[in-house]
Amino acid sequence: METGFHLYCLLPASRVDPAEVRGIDGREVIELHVEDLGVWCSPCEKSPAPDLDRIRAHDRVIRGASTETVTALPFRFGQWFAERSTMESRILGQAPHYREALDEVAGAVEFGIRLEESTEGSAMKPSEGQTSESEAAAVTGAGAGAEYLRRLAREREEREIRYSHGESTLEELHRLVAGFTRKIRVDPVAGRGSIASAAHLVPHPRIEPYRDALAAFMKDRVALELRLTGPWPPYSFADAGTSA
Amino acid sequence: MDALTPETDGPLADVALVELLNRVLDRGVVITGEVVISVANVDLLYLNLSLLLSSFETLDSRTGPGTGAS
Repeated sequence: METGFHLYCLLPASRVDPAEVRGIDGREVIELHVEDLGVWCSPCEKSPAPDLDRIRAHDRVIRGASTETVTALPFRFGQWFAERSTMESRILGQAPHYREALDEVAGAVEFGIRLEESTEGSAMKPSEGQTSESEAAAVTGAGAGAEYLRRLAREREEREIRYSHGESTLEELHRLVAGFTRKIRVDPVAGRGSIASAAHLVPHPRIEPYRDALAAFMKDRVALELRLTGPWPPYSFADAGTSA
Repeated sequence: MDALTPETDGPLADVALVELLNRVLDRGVVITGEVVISVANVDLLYLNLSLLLSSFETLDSRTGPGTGAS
């Protein structure tokens, strides 16, 4: 009986054995071959809804597909096909791009960095586009509207200064780690509480010097905090060759 | 804690969790028509286009002419 497939990742075929990892909901993970590409997937009758356990399992399978020399190309959660033939034809249609992306990420991992203002930081820290309830309550009476608008304008200006500072700091950091990264992706939106955010693709042999470079960058900086997460599978670089 | 230690547990686990969600739901190879939207890297809204369309058709049929719905 035909069943659907939930996809985890792509990698060069027959290089890593999927038998030792379990997929979402404890399902078995199998490798289907599309020419020289291996597709790690779990037979799955219908598209699984995302929840925390499944998301973690999805990530775990992708990590299990990677070694120091083979780096799997992650599928975004939710890639499910009812028919194997449809899945194969879709992958076949983009196979040159996937091969290019696999070459690009081979032997490398992703690190995520976020630059944030130090918690001891500046007076600009509280403004994140919202006025607190107590502030809003204090704004009453004649002239209150004008004062409220001035405050919004001031907060917007402070935000712009902060993000501009984040961009220039990030550029400085990227110059420092350029020799240890294969590729860098800067997030256009840093996210709540951050002033800059980026993903770095780092080859395995350069991980330690990369960390050392980040540590050197942060030395003596008191107004900034650096959040480093990883190593991750190369989620942020999986669209290499297919992105516009 | 060393600021450069990967933050996968402890008080900063939320950071790693947000990063995980952001990656698994919003990045990676896409070959089907499902869409994930992230807001501020925290609030995530998952839209299955086919589900959305079928829901819209259902809604449309229930609120169409003759149903009395406004």
